[in-house]
This record gives sequence, C-alpha cells and structure tokens, in this order.
Amino acid sequence: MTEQAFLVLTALADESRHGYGIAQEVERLSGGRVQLKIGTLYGVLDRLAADELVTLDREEAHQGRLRRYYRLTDRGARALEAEAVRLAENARYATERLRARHAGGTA
Amino acid sequence: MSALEDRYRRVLRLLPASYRAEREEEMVSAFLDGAGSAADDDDAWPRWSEIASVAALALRARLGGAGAAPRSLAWGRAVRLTALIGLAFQAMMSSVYLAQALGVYGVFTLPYANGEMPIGEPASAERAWHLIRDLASALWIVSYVALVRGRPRVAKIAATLGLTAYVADFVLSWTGVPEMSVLAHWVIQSLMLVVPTLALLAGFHRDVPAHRHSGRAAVLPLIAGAALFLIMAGLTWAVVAANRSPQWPGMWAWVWPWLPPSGLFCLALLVACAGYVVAHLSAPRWRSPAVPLALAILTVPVMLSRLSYLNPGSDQLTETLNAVTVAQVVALLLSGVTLAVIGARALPAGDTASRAVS
Repeated sequence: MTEQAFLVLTALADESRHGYGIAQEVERLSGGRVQLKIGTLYGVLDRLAADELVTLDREEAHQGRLRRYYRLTDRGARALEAEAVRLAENARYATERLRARHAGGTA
Repeated sequence: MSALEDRYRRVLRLLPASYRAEREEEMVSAFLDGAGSAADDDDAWPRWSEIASVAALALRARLGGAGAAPRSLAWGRAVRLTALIGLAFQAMMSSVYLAQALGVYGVFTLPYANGEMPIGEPASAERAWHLIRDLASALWIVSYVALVRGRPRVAKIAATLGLTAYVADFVLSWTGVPEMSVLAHWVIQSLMLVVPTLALLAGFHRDVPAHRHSGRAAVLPLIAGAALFLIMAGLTWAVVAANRSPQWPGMWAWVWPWLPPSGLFCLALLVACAGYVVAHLSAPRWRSPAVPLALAILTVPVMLSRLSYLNPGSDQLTETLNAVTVAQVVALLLSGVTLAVIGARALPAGDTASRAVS
C-alpha cells in the first residue's frame, strides 16, 4: 500500500469526506508533507474504489457545486488496520534497535 | 463560471469522456475549494503541478488504469506490448553490439578483420570513455530483462539511462561536425528507441500489476542476439570477400538495406505481421486488439527510419538500394495499416468505465 493510499484511508477512518476534505485531511495527517493534487487524489480514489476499500457515501450540493463524500468500507478498514499494524511493527523494531545502539554507546 | 473554473475544465478535457462524465463536477468542486479566494480571480490559472496531475491521471485512465473502460484496458495492453517488443529488439541488438565490442577489445578474435579501431590507449581516459559508451548498450538488456521479470521501475530507469547515453554519445560526436542532415537522420533513427521507451514509461503505470514472465522469455532475445552476431559476422566476412570481386556489389546491393538495425527490425516486423494475419484468419481464439495495434505502432518508427536511408544518387547501386528501401517502406505501410484496421475492429466497443463511484 502506498503512503498516499494509506493516508487517504486514514483520512476516511473517522468520517466520510469529500475530495477537497480528503486532500486537506491528508495534508494535516502528514504534517504538511503530503499535498495531494486533485488529479493525484482521484487516481488514488479510483484505485481504492476498484479494490473496494472506499465507496461513495453521499452526494451534496455546496454553493451550487457537486460534492461527493467517500467512506471507508469494512474491507478498507481491515486493510488499513493490517497496514497500520505492519507499520507499527516496523517502527517498534527500529525504535528497539536505536535504543540498543544508544545504550551501547555508539553514536 | 469563473475564469479559473473555465481554465480548469479545459485542463480536464485531457481525461477520457467517460471519466469526465463521472468525475468532472466533483473534481472542479474540489479544485475550486482548494483555490480559495483565487477562484474568483480572472488572472488565476491552474498550477503546473495541478495540470501535471490531471495529465498523469488522463494517461492512466486512457491506458487501463484502475476501473478503466475495456477499450482503455485494451489500449493499455497494446502500449505495454509495444514497449515489450521494442525492448526485446533493442536487447537483441545490444547483445550483438556487446559481442562486437568484446571482439574489438580483444576478448576474442572476430572472424573478420576490423582494422584499427579508435578506442584509445589502454588505461587512458579515451579508452575508459569508449568502454563506458560500448557498455551502455547493456542498459537495454537490463531494461528488457527487468520488465520481463516483473520489475518495471528498474526497466524504466535502465531505458531512460540507455536513451540518455545514446543522446550524449551523439551530441558529443555531432558537435565536432555539426551537420543538419546528420542530425535529422539521427533523430529519425532514434525513434526506434524513443517509441518503446515512451511506451514503457506510459504503459507500465502504477495501476498495472507487475507481471513476471518466465526466465526463458528473458533470455530469448539474448540467444537471438548471439545467433544474429554469428550471422552478421559471417555476412561481414562474405562482404569483405565479395568486395574484392569484379562483380561487386552484385546481389549485396539487394541484401544491404536489410542489415542496419532498422532493416533487421523491418524484416522482423514484416514476418511478425504476416504471422499475425495468418493466425488471425485461421484461429479466431488468438484474435486480440493488443498484438496488431502494438505491431502497427512499431511499424511507424521503423518506416521513418528506413525512409531516412533514401539517397538522391542516380547510379545503379544507389537505385537498387533505393528500390529495396522503397519496397520495405511500402510493405511496412501496408502491414501497419492492415494491422491497425484489424486492431481497431477488435477493440471493445464503447468507452463505458466500470469505475466505482456508487
């Protein structure tokens, strides 16, 4: 799973969001590091929708413009959880080894 | 509609109609939400990064991206096959070049006298440059093998480096004697590398799952290259011998246009096109749009390359060479058009995407 896909799924984990809302949330979650352009965002959404990890939740009109809200599917939640566990494991290994390195006195 | 919205909608025209029908309104909405106060500014334009992201999305949508229409999926397969066949040919030719280079550097004795090759003194900077230049052709082998073994990213890097080395080699030699006719001939010749490389970069996008072919497919062009090297060595020996004959060039004038890389590619394509047409007529289950479209695409750079060999001379030798070259171009044109028609007819009808937005 790419970092972009992971962040989009994470952005949808708590509530359904529309396109720009997802892009904003991804930027916030990544501390401003990942700024999804609209073309990139919809490429990621296409892939996640094709894999049935996200789906359309509802449509709303906002200032005369269409907003489509997307939500995480159960399958998407499981995929996000599995990826989060994998990343947490990797982070834990890295933290343990760095702790051992510092304890051993090597800089 | 604001000027910015109008301009962004124009950018979205890069996308296939079916994609726009589904996504245009929400993409415009998302874009204008992000534009903030600039949305009402008549002088505001979409940023280049936004345009690039739409262009990349358009390319993926047209070449079989996630949830793409069957027609786009078929085009995606055709473009990827174009890359695969083009790189297979380059890998085969690179095997020949590498074998020739090994002979020039004295690793083994060539079966023909190649004279004094300007490769510089041993351990000199000039020798190192020639060695790097000669070894650069191996990048095409790396690219092909990586692609076949399911590593498209490595294949893309190797092909881009191979193309860069090819351009650098020409620029360095051309700046010494800058003739426009030489430049024009080189540009046309380079299309045989540029077209497969572009097909590789565009066709193997991130929505395409990596497919690992057998190791046999990976070594096939290398074996063909080794066989071709032996054939070329034999032909070179025969040409050198015939050159001393009073009947020179005799039948060699008819053979010569088939020996440059574009001549060999022409021969391979004509055989492949004829083979496909026979298979298409005799076995309907083998019919697919990807194969004829890929072959038809490849006939274009090869045809242009062959055309660049036409000479204005009027002596008998030049006339014979030109006659063979014209025959090659006509055969490629007919084959290309025939396969393009077959491929276009075999394409799935309509452009309805299966993209999940509901």
